[in-house]
Amino acid sequence: MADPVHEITVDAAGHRLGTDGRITVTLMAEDGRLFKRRAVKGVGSGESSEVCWLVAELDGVRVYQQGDHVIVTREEMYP
Amino acid sequence: MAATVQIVEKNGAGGTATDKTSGSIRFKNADNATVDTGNPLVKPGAGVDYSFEKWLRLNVSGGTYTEITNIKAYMDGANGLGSGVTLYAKAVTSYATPAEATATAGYADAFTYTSGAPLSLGAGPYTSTGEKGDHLVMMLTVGTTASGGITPSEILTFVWDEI
Repeated sequence: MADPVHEITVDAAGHRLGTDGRITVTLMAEDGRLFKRRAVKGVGSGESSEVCWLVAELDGVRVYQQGDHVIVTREEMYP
Repeated sequence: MAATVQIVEKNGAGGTATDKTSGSIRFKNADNATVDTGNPLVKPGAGVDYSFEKWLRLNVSGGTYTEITNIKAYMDGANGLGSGVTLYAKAVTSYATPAEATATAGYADAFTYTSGAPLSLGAGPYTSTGEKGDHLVMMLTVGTTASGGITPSEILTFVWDEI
């Protein structure tokens, strides 16, 4: 089953937020980045799956969120 | 909203694209996207038998998005194709008709591209629909120590950033 693809919007206060429909991550800074890191895994195998992470980055620190998992790190991570 | 993304295999002089996002890719001694046992690689008495190249690319077929950046590809780091079977990869900007490879120059072992060190297929930003980023060109060699039959599948990942 494919991950839900996050929706990125802006709230009434002007903050960017991303949600998978269950968990919402809000970036409360103008200079940070908020984006989806999407992937197709198993291309060509006949058993592929789609993955979507929400990534918030501020001052070199990244928050990766997928489902119930949240990682806070300075590392570049890929699904 | 999100981009609707496919991974396509391109074949022929015109680069006819076949959606392989959830399909199989078969390395063979012919330029086509058909998954069959025709035109197999042959275990050689000496040296290696080279496959035809596989030209793969990310294609945005629809959906709504602002931009795509940071397209990359990688394997799982462990060659599970069996003894004597090696998979190679490189990034190429412009399409050329897939040919039978004759050397490994310009390629790297595909399994050296991992989630910790992926192959870049273009930084972008890319917008709108259509094919985006570089092509991922792959080819496979079969050496004298290979076993017969169809190899196990391997895990190729395409990844991109999107807003």
